[in-house]
Amino acid sequence: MVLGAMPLWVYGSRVYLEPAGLLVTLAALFCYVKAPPEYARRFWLACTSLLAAASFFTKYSFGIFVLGGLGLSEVLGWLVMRHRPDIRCLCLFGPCVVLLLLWFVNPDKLSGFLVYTRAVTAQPPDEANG
Amino acid sequence: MKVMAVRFSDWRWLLAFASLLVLVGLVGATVANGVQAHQACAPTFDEAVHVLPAAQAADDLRHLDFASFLRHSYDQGSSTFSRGRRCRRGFLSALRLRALGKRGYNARFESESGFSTLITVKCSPTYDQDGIAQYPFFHSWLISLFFLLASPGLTVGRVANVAFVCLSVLLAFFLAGELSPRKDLW
Repeated sequence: MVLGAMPLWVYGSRVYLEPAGLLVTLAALFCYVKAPPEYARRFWLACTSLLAAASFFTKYSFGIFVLGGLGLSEVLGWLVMRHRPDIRCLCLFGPCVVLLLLWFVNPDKLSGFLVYTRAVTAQPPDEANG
Repeated sequence: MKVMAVRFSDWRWLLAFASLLVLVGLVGATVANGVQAHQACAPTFDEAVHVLPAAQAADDLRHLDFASFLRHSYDQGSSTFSRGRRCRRGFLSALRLRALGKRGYNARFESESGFSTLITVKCSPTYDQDGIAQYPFFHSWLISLFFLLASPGLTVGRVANVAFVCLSVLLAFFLAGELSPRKDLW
């Protein structure tokens, strides 16, 4: 079904961010699924964290969705299992948070991020072309 | 690993995977051929914004200039374009957008080490280019690997994205296998 989806290939055959975002997001999900809470698989957790950062550095909105999904899943797990965040949380979010902090240490990046979150605004044609 | 070993010994799983592999290869090759056939198709401004930093990253890697590679990567995601005319800092200061009437721009990209390319981009006058240039670096890294293997260019960038979609489909197959409740079967 995916292979036959023409809208997918319209974006997939252009140099847009979506195909790379799809690949990195699926890779992050795959690593996350390989590290269920009942097993201490720190390698897969660290891979998940790095790939979540990669999705953020592909396009901010991709990273927000991936990190939001991971965070929601972990919080629900804590509530259901009635245990507190532990070394799993550190492995899962630690590398990603460090990379994001390194990126946003420059305030210009943060302002860029805020600019990006705003809707694209229309400009008067004269100003845009002149 | 045990689960993977079970899967590889299961002929149904192997048949499904081989079928998918052939299908992905055929569809991917068809789309890549279409991209080659339409290589004269002008890029949109958004494509140019993604291709040019990737070309710079590939150029840095080709010269093994890792310091510049990191610096240029970190330069991305800033307020790069000033009202769509020229860039403010770093390597993108070499990017010039020259208006071609109301229908498009010529974008000349010159890296610090001499690589240059000229592309004509379609640009909607309603785009706020400050807003669409806030992309970080990872896509450039991925595309730059293809630019290293082939030559930097729009067609190679497009084919790279076709490859990303094909890899995503294969990855989705493995992800579905991990999520399947019957891991002994899939």
